[in-house]
Amino acid sequence: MSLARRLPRPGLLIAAVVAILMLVAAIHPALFAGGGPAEGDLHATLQGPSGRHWFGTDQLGRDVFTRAVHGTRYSLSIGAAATGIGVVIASGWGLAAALSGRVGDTLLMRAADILLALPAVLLALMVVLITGKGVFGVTLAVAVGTAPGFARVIRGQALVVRRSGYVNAAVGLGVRRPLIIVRHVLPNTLAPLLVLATVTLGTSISTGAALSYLGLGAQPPTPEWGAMLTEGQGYLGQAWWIALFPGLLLVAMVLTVTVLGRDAQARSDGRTS
Amino acid sequence: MPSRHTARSAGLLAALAATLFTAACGSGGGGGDAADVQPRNGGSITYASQKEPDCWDPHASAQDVTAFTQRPIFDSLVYQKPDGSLEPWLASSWKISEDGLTYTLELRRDVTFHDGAKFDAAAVKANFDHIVAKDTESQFAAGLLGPYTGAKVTGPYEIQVSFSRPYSPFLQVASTTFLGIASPASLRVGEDKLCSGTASVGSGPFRNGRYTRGQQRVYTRNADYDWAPKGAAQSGPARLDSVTVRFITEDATRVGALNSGQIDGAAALPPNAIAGVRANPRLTAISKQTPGAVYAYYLNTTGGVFTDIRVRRAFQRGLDIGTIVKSVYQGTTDRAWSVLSPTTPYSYDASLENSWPYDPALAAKLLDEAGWTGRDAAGYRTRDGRRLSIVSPVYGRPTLFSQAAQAELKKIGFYLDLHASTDATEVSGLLDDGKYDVVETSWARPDGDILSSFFLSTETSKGGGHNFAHVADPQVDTWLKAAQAAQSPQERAKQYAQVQKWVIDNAAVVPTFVSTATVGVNRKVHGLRLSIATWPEFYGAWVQAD
Repeated sequence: MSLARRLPRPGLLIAAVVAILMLVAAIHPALFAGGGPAEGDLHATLQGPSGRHWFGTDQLGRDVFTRAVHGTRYSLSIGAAATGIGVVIASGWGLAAALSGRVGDTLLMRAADILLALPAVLLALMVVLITGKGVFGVTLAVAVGTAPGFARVIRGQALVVRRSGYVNAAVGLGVRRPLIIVRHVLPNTLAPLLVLATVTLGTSISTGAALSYLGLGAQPPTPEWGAMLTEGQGYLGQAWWIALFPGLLLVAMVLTVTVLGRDAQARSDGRTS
Repeated sequence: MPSRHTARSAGLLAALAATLFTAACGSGGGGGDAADVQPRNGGSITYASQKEPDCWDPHASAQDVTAFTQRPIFDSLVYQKPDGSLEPWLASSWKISEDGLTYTLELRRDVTFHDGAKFDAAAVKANFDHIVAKDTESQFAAGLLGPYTGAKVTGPYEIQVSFSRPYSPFLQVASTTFLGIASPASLRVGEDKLCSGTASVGSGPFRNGRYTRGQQRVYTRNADYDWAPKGAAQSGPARLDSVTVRFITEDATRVGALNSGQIDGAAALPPNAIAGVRANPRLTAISKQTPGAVYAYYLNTTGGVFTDIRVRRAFQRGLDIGTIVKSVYQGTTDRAWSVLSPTTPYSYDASLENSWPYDPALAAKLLDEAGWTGRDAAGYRTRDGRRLSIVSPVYGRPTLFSQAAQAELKKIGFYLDLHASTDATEVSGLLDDGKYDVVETSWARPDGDILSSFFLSTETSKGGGHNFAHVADPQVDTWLKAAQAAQSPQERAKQYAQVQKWVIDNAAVVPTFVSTATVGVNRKVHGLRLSIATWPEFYGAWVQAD
């Protein structure tokens, strides 16, 4: 294997660096921005980007860069938690479909088909109506939006694993069914799902931000990027920087996660191109 | 009466949610520059409102937007001119009994409703009966009538309205759209239909036209109209053939539609859009300070940290209100010194101005005295290990002012907990049970009697009132009731001044800023003026030919 093939592509390298920076910003925002996201200087409102305020200041004199850095945590955690919850819901759903016989399988998968027919944002909007506004409600809504797709993958994988030699052997040895599911079927279905989840993470982040933009997620003065876009849009003609920078960061995060996810998917498929 | 109570809470929440504040002080009249164009009849205008009524029956609804959108259709017994003075409208004259308990109103004989019915004393009685009827579930109009006991027809065109105690705010109350006079036949169609906005039949200069929920309502000219009050900008029928009110809730969209010429007028310009509208040669902006109770924090004087007057005073003097108002509202409105707006007729106490300036050193001293001497890791003051935290229930989104105040209050050690919720039941529950430290709200009403609903001891949140500060002082009650009994505006002003001073001295309230309505108008529209309640009056408006 030549050296060139060992080195990652530049795009992937950039994505990895951005991902690490964002992860650090999410865990320890003070490393990048000193002040608090709610602290403002009322004598310095709506100031354009400068050496002192890289991303300018907003209508309350708060530093947009500080707020954007602190916002990383919200967008990333809403996306990651939603995907995680989606995986958990889908595991139960997909396994139940694969292992519950023809009638149960048909019922569960047709339900997934119905939900898949709805756009993810629309489905999430309906869920928010039930769960209520706020970060938790939005996270759950995005999770429900991702679950049907995951459930299909799990079911397909579980059907393959169920007929595999090691499962047949376990059955022959008289191992009890619940133990077979937990010890053999579940672990072997999850691997491809985790790859899919990484790819989906980008979509989850943008859906979460979209719901916050619509006023359903984090509420002011929380520095969540979607909420910052809403706050900034009223000032677009006067202070474009309030909305632009959180928007750019959101794009960067979604691109980064998607590039990394695609790479993981390609590796898992046995390709390294 | 739980249902009425719930309904009134809903009205209150509407006020709490009124974050769509707009700005700039100045003249209340305007529209285009009419120097070289002659008024003309015909044409139509489209005006964008930032809200749409939930219920179109002004007798039932507490929403300002209901009163605004129904004004072209419903006339009132009395007219309140933009300067606050009262004059006859559908009532041609009135007499008040010696004891102040009975108002005898003589009515005009030449008025016809849009459905052809004659306006008379029986019609007025039907309206009063409808307002207080249980089925109407009036959220506001019934409350405005105060100690009302009944209306009696004493002649075909004469009616007596009685009260259990003298109630001088009545004539002003009778001038509002909330007490607008509808055709008696229309009142019998049922509350659902009245609320839906399709059954509005009045005697006003415009008739109810096509209504598409969520989009727009059209008003068409009433060609028979000939009973305008003297102080109106016009007499006889309106000049415009029709008016279309569109509902555009999004600020940026509404301002964009005005700038691009898609609409001729727009309500509630946000502070950051006013300069742009004024700079546009095709547009102008008209502003007027809203009368009534200004935006203010009402401090819970009977529960939590604010039972200690030193802590209340620290909050009052330690918040840099002037700086917040100046920077957040970009010079488009004024900070408030009294709980009443300066434009509230015959009520405002100007002596309060500059009487309680920002003084962070005094605030710190008061908090030290009250025992809040510790500081926690986040920098907030503590006492016995407990943080100096104040809960403010918010329906919907917190106002920009409160967001700025949250950061400013941290400097003197207060943690302002903005408890935002979109669950109306939850928020009204917190208010009713007194589970809060501070409530931020405002209430537009062009009469000093608004003070009664905020400070009369009987006006509890649970009972449908707004006494969020839990003021229960016999002296305050006496002043407010004396003001309601006094007939002379000067005497009422004297009583209201004492109340305004008392609530500041006792730090029951921290007035923040004067709500100001700013309307953007295309210069081709002329004669559009803002009413005392700061809504545009379409009756006198006309549009120049293209």
